[in-house]
Amino acid sequence: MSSSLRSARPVWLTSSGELNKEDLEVMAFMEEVLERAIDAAGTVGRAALIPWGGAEACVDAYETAIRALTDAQLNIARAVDAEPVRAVLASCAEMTRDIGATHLSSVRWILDV
Amino acid sequence: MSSGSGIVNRLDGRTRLYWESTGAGDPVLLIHGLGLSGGAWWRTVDALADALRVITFDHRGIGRSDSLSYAYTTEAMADDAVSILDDLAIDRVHVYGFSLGGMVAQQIALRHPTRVQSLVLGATHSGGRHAAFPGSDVVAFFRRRATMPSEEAAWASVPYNYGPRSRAEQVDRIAEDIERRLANPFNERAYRAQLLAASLHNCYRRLERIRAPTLVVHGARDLIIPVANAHLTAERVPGARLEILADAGHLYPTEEPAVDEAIGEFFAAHA
Repeated sequence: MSSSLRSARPVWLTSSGELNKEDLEVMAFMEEVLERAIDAAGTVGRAALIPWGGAEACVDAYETAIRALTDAQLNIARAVDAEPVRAVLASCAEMTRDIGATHLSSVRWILDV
Repeated sequence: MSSGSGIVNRLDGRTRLYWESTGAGDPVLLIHGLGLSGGAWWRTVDALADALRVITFDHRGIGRSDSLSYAYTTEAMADDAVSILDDLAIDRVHVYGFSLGGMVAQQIALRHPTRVQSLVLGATHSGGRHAAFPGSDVVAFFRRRATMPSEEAAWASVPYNYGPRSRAEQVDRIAEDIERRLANPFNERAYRAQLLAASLHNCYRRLERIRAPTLVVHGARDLIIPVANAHLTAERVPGARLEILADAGHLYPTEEPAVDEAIGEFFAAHA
């Protein structure tokens, strides 16, 4: 079992990138387990968000909030005529957007919205 | 034919985005895929610039664009593209995105809908749980590719990038592509950041919000982004037209030169 798990290390960690039958079986099993876990999380998440207007509305609201926060930081950066404060504010805005985008991508995947 | 080029300096003071503009007429923004510079559009620019103002650009860390941090999300790449339109004082534009560029094009259409006159999504996918993913051998290759010497990587990519007919009959065109590609130094960090952006991309459910007239183009022999994705995308975008190229692989602009003309006609119909 331990050797199976060791051999199931991600493709990008193998030197040749080639997989044998055992690797593929372990990967398929892990994918199936992960898929079921995501399905279950999605079902629970969608049910839990019904009182707040449903999963899609909640995710959209989160996205709107992230964009508003990003835009506010960018507007402040534009208004500040001093470096490096402007650069720091602009970088913070980009970080906010990218972290938010990563959250949103994952949440949309799990909730399928 | 008029042409120009320039650099957009973004607010962070470190990001500089290089763009080129060729021709006159309605503007069209071309967005290229993974690890490639705007120069990789050379065939399409030649085909479209007789009737349109064709704008290409290099993503962060690619070609002549520079940045301290790379773009790790398609949202960031979309905002970079729109910053170029802002700098050029262009309100609305036809957008043609290819592969990763197609994902960026989706984000532009969703994040900046008033800026998009029409949309062409070439050899791309919408992400999310419903996307059809490439085989594990293809994924393994593209991860391995980042560590290969540029020329070896370019030639090793040929079986994945081009369909069998093209590999047999269009060796000269493939060699031209590779020669152009090697003209730009390869940036491994920017490439990995773009790979992450493609992995995180997820617009599937929101495609139905796209209001711009949309054309989806895909090679039936595409190994990198399976053609099933084109069907999914065309089903989700309201009123989208689907064009499947029977013998083409991923890099269909090289394999099917006539497609650029059809895309030009699509833009003209939605001027």
